[in-house]
Amino acid sequence: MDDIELIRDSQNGDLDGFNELVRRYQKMAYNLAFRMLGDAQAAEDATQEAFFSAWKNIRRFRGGSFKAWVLQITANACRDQLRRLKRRPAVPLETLPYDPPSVSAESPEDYAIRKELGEHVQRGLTTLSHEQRMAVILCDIQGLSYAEVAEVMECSLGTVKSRLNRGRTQLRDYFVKMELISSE
Amino acid sequence: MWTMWQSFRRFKKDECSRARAMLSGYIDRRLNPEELTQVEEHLRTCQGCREEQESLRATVVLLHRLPEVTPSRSFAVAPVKPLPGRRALRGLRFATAGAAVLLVLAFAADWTDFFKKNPSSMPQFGPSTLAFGSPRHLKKASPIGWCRG
Repeated sequence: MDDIELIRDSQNGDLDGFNELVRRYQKMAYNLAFRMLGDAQAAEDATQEAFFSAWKNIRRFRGGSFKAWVLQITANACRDQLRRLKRRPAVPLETLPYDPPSVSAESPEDYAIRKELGEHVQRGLTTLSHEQRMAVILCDIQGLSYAEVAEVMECSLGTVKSRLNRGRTQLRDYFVKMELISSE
Repeated sequence: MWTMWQSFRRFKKDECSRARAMLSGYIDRRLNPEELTQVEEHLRTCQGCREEQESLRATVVLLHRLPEVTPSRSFAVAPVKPLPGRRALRGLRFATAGAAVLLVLAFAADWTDFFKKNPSSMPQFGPSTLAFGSPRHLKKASPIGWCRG
């Protein structure tokens, strides 16, 4: 079954059909939440909240990109979580769950390097403003087009470009400082 | 001569700012042909912006290499069952609303001296019930009270 049929069934109250959509998009939504929040538990909460809200409002979905719609709801759930997270400190990054290596040939050393890189990048992302971080995650980590990022963030293409430019520049400065890349 | 040098530097700075604002679009190949020509021409002559472009590109490459995280559970939505005793709660809500309306009516009637003006609408009580009412009524009370008319 394709997405359109599943969305139509969901709009008629078919929860199983909706949960099939959840299975298809949950990893993408969770990754956005995780990179935005830097906290596995908060990311799970935001993702669950987002899918629950999507189920409640599925009848309001009027076509277009379902992926962008789900990410938009997840982005809003992340903003709510960020407001709540201000009241308590973040979980240490060492506890973050990483995808098990998909290539069995990956050595423990490679895995360690990849894990360390992930931690550095995550710390760098937290130095950006929420909106810059969102633009960088959606474009550079999740691979969305500028138009899709604009749809998710409910802003113009020009705003996406400027947030992305400023976010990347600030992140570059952090990576140079951490000696992950050279300044020349 | 100094003023000319200052003007040239300001012009160069503005040109660099304009080019740098377009570098992300340049890396992502999102510039229109006119913008692309402007950036490429500038990069040919400006070492600083070329280095800026290379380091931004390295940043994007690093972000692309970031591993995907896997959630430890599913986010499927569970069916919501109606809460037990919901019907009883609804009955209680109606009863409370009814009691509140009656209370408001009683206060309104007392405040407007409704029963004093329309004594016939009031049931006849014996002297023992005369203490009921506001202080205003108590002052006027007689052995047979306000039921006398």
